[in-house]
Amino acid sequence: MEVDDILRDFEKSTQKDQDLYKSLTTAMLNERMAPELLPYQQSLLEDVLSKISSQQQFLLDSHEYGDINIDSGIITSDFKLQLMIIETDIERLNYLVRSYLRVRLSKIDKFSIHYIDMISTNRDSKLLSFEEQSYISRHFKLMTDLYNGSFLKKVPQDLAYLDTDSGISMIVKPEIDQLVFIKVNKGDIVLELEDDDELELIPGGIYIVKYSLVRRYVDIGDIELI
Amino acid sequence: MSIPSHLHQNLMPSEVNFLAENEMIQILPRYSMKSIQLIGTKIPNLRALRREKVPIWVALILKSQGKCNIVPPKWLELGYLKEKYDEEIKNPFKFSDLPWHWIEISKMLLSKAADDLSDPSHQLRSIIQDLKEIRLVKSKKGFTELNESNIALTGLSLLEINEIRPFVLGVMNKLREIHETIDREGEEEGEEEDDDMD
Amino acid sequence: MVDYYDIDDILATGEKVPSIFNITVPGLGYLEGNPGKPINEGTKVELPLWLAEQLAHLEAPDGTPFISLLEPESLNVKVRNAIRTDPVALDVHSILPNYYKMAEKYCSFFSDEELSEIIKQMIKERSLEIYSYANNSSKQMNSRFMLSLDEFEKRLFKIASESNRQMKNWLKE
Repeated sequence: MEVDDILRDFEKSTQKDQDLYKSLTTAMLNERMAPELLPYQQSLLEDVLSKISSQQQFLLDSHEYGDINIDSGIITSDFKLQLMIIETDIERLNYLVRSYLRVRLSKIDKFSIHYIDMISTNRDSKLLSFEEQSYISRHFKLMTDLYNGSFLKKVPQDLAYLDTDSGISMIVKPEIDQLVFIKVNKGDIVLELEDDDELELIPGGIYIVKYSLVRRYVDIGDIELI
Repeated sequence: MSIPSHLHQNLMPSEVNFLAENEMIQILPRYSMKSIQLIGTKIPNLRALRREKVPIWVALILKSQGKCNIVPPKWLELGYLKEKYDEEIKNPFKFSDLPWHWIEISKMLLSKAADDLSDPSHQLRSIIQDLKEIRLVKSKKGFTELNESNIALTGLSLLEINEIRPFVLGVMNKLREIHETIDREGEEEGEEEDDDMD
Repeated sequence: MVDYYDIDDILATGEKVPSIFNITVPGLGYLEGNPGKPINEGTKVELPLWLAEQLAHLEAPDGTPFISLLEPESLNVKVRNAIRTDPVALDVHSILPNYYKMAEKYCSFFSDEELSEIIKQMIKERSLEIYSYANNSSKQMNSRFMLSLDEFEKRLFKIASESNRQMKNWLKE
């Protein structure tokens, strides 16, 4: 490999790492602000989590063996500072990951019957991660056991359902017409409003609009929720 | 454990500050330090007195250890901010163009790197306070325009958005709920027996 | 979209509303204090909204709905005019604690566009006042306006002042 190639590879990987941080932040904010659950960012999360664990391994090794680049094996204060920065970096990414996962859990808890219905009709749905799928069924079982044990067993059978759809639906669903703050990344987006009105979005612009009007642009990254 | 429900569709100011700490800033190292490969980014080799860009959170750690000075962003300067203030006054219906994290970054640098700023802290604090206030007054005037469908707020920074978010979305969503009670798609009328209403 | 578990919605549908029977129904006399007797055509009774709504949709074999809903006092011409004149001065809470929910139900039931416009204007003007109270704690003491808020408005006040408080605290850090 030529030096140029190595340099180019290096630049590419640095670029990719920065994108990783940005992608994770965007994923967290989108998830945080969207009224509904967004598709689980499988490859992004795998990437981040594996990098976090290898960096943690590096920290462990460094604490044990010291700075491998220095023969004397003495841990300098500079090296300590570097380790502290690396540790902070891990903590910061951890925080983003946790925030991302926790807001997903709150939606899974709140709309569990709705999402259970959804994944049972579409088995290869990318909506939930494997762990989330087992979480949602356990959560649902715990909840129905609790309800049954504490009061539903005492009411007539035909009133004991939790998911009847006649009249007002008992299944709580996310309200996708809710208004959200958005930041526009790309041009040429025109939203169709009521009464044949249109709203042309300017790149870099900040708007409040109905989530349902922008969800497909959020999915492809042309619009971010903020 | 899931996030508390009041934080769904909302951020705490400290979280907005966290996001601001990821912005890049220039530093002037006082000593050399070997490059560090982080997960999110790479800190280049630092050499004394050679400017480099690093994330703000890294700059603040280095600064607290006396390893660098921070080169303040060019907008964090009395003359520039005064100009922006005048602009805010001149254009009553438009927000002047300030960085996405201007309040958080100025707060961090004022409290942790005041000696690196080109102007006296108390003067900077006071112009920032004035700017913040005049922009909030403008937002408030805009509240009379709240409606059930959409609004443009271009020019506001993330923290300013976050401050008014719960109120603005609360009102707009309620307006939307009332608006949606009328079925505007099917235009036919008089199907219901509504003679009893005057 | 109605959330099945929305407590304010449940409370609002528990409010009694005036309605009039379009036909005579045997055995329903207990609704006006005559157990065992029929309820006669033309009788006005106050029914909880959840029941009245059902009965107004249900039709007797000849196609007449069992009852017609009448305009509740909370939404009559007098109140509408009061809203138009000065929405901020109106004591909404004493009219109905879940005023907007009730208004929403009536707007949708009667497709009353005029009412929906009045209510929207009312929300806009009162919420501006709510915002200014939320950002000025000295204003909140002994205020008649604060006591006049409906449940939605109380929540709005709470989230707006909470956001303001968080911001102030963070700036002080």
